Amino acid sequence: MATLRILIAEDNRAVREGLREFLEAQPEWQVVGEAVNGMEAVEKARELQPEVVILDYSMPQLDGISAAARIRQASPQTELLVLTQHDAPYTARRALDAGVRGYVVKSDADRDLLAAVEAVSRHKVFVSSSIAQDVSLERGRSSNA
Amino acid sequence: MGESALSDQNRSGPKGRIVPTPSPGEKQRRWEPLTLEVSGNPAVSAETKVSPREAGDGGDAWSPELLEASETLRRHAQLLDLAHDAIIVRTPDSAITFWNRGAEAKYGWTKEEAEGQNTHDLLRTEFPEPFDEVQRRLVQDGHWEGELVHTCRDGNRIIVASRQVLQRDDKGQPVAILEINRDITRRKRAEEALKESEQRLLSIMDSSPSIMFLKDRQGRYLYVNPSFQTLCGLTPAEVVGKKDSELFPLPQADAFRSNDLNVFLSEMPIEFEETAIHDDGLHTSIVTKFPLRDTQSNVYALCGIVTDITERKRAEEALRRSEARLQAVIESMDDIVLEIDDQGVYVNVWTTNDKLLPRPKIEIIGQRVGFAFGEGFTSPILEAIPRVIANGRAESLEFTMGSSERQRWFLGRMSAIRPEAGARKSVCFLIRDITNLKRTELALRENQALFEGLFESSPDAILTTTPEGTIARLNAQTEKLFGYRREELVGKSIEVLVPERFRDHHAAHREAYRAQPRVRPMGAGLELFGRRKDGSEFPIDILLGPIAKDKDPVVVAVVRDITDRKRAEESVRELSARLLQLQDEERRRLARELHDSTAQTLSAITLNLSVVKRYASFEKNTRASKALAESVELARDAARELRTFSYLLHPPLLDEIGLAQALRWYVDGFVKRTRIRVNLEMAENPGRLPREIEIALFRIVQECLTNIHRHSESSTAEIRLFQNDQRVVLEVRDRGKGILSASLVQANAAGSKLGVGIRGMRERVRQLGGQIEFTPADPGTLVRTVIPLTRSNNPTQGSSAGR
Repeated sequence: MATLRILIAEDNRAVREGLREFLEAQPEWQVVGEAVNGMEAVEKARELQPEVVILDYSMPQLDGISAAARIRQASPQTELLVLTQHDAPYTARRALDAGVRGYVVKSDADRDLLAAVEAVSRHKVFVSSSIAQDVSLERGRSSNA
Repeated sequence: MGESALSDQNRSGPKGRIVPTPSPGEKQRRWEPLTLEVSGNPAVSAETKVSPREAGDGGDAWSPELLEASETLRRHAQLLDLAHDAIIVRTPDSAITFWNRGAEAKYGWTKEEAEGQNTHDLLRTEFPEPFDEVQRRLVQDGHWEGELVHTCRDGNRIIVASRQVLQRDDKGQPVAILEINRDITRRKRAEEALKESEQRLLSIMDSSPSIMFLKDRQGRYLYVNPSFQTLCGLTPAEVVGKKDSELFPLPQADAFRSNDLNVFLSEMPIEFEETAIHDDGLHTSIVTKFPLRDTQSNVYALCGIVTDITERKRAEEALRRSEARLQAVIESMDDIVLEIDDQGVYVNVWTTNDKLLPRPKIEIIGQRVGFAFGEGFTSPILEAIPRVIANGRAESLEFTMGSSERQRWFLGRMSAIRPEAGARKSVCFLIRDITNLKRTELALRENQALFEGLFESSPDAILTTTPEGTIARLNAQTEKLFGYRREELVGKSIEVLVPERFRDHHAAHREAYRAQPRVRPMGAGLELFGRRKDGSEFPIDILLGPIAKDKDPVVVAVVRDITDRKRAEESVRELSARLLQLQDEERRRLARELHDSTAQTLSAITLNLSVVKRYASFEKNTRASKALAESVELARDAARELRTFSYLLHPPLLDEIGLAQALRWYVDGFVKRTRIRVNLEMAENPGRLPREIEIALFRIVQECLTNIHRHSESSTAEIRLFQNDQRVVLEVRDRGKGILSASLVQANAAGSKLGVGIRGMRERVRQLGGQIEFTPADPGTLVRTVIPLTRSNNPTQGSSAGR
């Protein structure tokens, strides 16, 4: 099995390092780079062409959603996963609409993150279990508008 | 005679008479056909024998049977000597064969004188019908009865009720006649007298202007006189035979009846005051009721004489009032008139009220001025007298008398009296006690002074104007406040003090006030401004009040400069705006801190713990393994709580993606937390509003939902948010018990003390130039917020990307 290459974009150092440890505890998973803001995330994605980018939603300079759009341009094969504090279905919806495959609420990370990375690496959508139902409702509401 | 009736003609005709009909008792007393068992002793009766020898005066060839019968009758009749009635036995041709003691006593002839005489000759019998008819009836019926007039020995004529019975022999031939005569002269005379008296009574009654009536023991009217009709409008025909209860209202009828019964009971005349309602109102009457007796002295009816004293009562009352008025007038006349001669001697004294004089009139006349009236009186009068006499011009002078605490004021007017030839010159001095007037004047002056003091020293400007708005008076503060001198304003229109741009309006309002003058603050709810002489303006409060005077009503305006208050209010507003802003910023900062730092750290801890859990081998230490698992859970819970808390402090969504999404998120969370169903109605993508408006509206929703959750007991809430180019409207409504209406009034009034929440909402809205209203929605309460979208607070940017 080939190594899964992951880029982490997260402005909080503790979270960043925690994430690296957490992800690299998986065999064959490798954190190939870290970015501390949205702009850097775009740059690193272009440069490293990772399979998965884990993006914080709120980051300095360029927020996660805006960064996601640019990363998709810079590295079309890269799948995006937003890891965020926000548990509002709307933000999840917005992220998914911007081309993000996975949406994990940070407080669910230890439980959901591995499965989420696994899913998006296979080009599947994954939304944190705590808000998954509300997000699908959100979709209904959006389509009505 | 206990029962009486009036004959028909008596009921209506003025010439009627009362005819008592015999009582049942009397009927029973009528004589039955004579059996001669008079004494009720049959033994005596059986032994009675008639002696033929004693019958008749002899001469006539009487058969032995006849004599026998006559004797039997006579014997029997002897027993009747004991009776008071005159008992006579006579032959069919009227020869007296028996004459009892009653007959002796009644007629005056002895038995010896009478027996053998012809009764009709002896007694000069006057029959009520022809004698032949009497004889015929006697023979035919066996008896006759009727009233006879007999003349006694002394020439007295008596009336007797005569009962005559014919005795026949075995062959049916008449043998004797027993005649029992009862003297009814007295009774007849009494009857006559009664009849006459009643006749007189009736004629008096018929022609009397007094109201009179007769009632029987049962209370039925036997008679009413024609005047009765004037009392109650009922004709005699309508009244007679009826009872009071059929004619008058029950309480009245009961009272009448009760009075009647008293008369029947006491059998004495009694006077009552009776009141009755008639067509023209309540009438008071004096009613004299007295019993009517028949010849047996039995009370069979009562007669009532009614004197309507209503008029008298009214007249008495009027007189009493008039006398009281007169007395009051007399007592209030304070004039004394003195005639004083040129030497200062009282020549005459007149007064309508002697009490005014310090001494009796008689003591004053002839004394010199100064006597009785005291020192204060003396010198001004003595000085005035020669002047008045000399000039012939009347003079008025005011003076006081009495000690200081009981001092009284007087006004005197002195005029010369033209003397008759040779008489001394004198003056007429009319003195009037004006103490009360003086006291009123003093009190008025004191009031005036007090008023002036208050008026002038008032910290408020006070003006009075005519209803047309012309300034009449103003105080010192008005001068100071508006910068005019008094004389510059008096006579000017009040509009001088109103800024030019409001003057037309003001004049219209003034007219409206004139139509409905009352004490009220002017321009309630409006900001009012005064205009100084230099044209500058300042905020004012005005209280208007009408002063009612007989003529020329006056409007008082109390004007207060509220510049300082306005300034203070403004600074309070600024301060509260700043506080709200600081609060918002602080919340936002706190929220960020918690969200971006603490929550992140917690997330990192969670991740790290997960790694630890993976790599560490706790197989031999289940306790550590369990603690680790719990720590992961605790860290996750803490992160979640922190996130919720920070979002409530300041939803990051609000800044990032706008009010609509923030509201959605908040409402979702609210529904989960409280189980209150919330219907959120708004456009899907309403577009961004200025940040302050979004925060304000979000906070209002937050505050309202919190209140609904805490206080309303409503299970649902509705939120509507809609906007156009000009304004954004937010409505939050619950269906619970609502805020109490009194609290609503407070909530709507500025400066409400109804909780910081509502004040906070109001202040936020006010700062944005909008309005918030709390109205009862039955059920529940509707909170409606309208915020104008002016150019200055229109959004310039869609979203502000924050961290």
